[in-house]
Amino acid sequence: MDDQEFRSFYENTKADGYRLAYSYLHNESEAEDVLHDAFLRFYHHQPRDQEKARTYLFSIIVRLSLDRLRSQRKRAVQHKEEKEPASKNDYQFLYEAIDELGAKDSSIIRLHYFAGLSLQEVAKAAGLSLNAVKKRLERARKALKEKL
Amino acid sequence: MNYLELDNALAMAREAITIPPLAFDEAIVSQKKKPYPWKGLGIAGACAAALVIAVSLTFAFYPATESVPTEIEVNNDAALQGPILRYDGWRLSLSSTSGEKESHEIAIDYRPGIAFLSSGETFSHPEQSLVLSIERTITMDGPEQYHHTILSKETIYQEEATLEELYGNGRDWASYAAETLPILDEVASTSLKGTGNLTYSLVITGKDEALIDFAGTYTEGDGSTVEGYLLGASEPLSSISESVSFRYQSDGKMSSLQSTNPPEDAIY
Repeated sequence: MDDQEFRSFYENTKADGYRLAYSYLHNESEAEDVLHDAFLRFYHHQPRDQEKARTYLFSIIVRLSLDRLRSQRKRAVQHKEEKEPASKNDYQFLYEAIDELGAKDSSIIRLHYFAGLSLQEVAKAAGLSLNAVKKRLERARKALKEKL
Repeated sequence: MNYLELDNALAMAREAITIPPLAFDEAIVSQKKKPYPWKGLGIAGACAAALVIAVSLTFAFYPATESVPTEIEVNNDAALQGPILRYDGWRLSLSSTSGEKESHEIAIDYRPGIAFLSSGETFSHPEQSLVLSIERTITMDGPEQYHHTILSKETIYQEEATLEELYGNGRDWASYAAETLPILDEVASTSLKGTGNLTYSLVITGKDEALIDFAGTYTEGDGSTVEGYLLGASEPLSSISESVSFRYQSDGKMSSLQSTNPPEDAIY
């Protein structure tokens, strides 16, 4: 991917990438940081198969978002910090319910619903089989339905 | 909320995220990779550089062929061939306290936030006093000799009650388990202590920088006991087993593998 193609890739994926990061972090500046770091990593370690570019980028965003959440938790434990309140919006209850799902199940919900990936793409990004994704999605939706 | 409403809520939540003006950051493409050092030297220069590198590598690796490597770099794509940690989840068992031999086990299929109780068990003495206990089992799963080695089996919740109390009319087991299981999460997140029959030392390290928190070691005890702790684990074990790398010594050689893609049942 040359610079021009990369710019176009950036323009086409930034919104979904931002939504994905935001669905984890619930914080605008944190989501922007993750998105920037993800594109930076992507640029320097591009997949050979350009068809996988989108799912590869989103898998980087997932990893970076989870890393950031872990270090936030670690920092909070070490310094006994109060967790910074997340940005409130009308769907806070939904984010909280998704956060309570297992790590993989919630990632699948986020990749599918917030990043707009098809189930095939979710399977590639999450490193799971399509059947496993379907099973997990079904379970996650059932859990969300019951919670809400 | 039904599924349709759920899907609508998710779609609306997606649209409610305001996308800030995300201008393309030129700094990303300005940090070019360093050009190859031999670029510009021409074919002769490249051949000379290649020769120097080949000779250097030959001498650099020659001594290693005579000694056992102390560490092998984990390859992300390595196939899963060795033991992996399998977290079997919670098992709820009911056993009679009356001295009779009758006992039953009922499995709870636990997922974070949800609990299912399998049905089909029948008790013949509803008035009996029973002990309800919830056990946590962690096994080492792998090929051949490591298959299903139990690392840890702990009873972490116990309650004595009559069958009527436990199974009484309208008992909402899902709620009951949901109330009880958060206690288990807490226990699971503090330590991993196991006993088993490993015959060689096993080191578990977090391969990913994000998993550094979970670094810990298992060292061989007297051949029948293995103890180890996950350091600073702040999440249930279920999420740790997803990408834990193992280095282990067998027949005097250090081997390495990574469970990047454990089977489905390794996750909970």
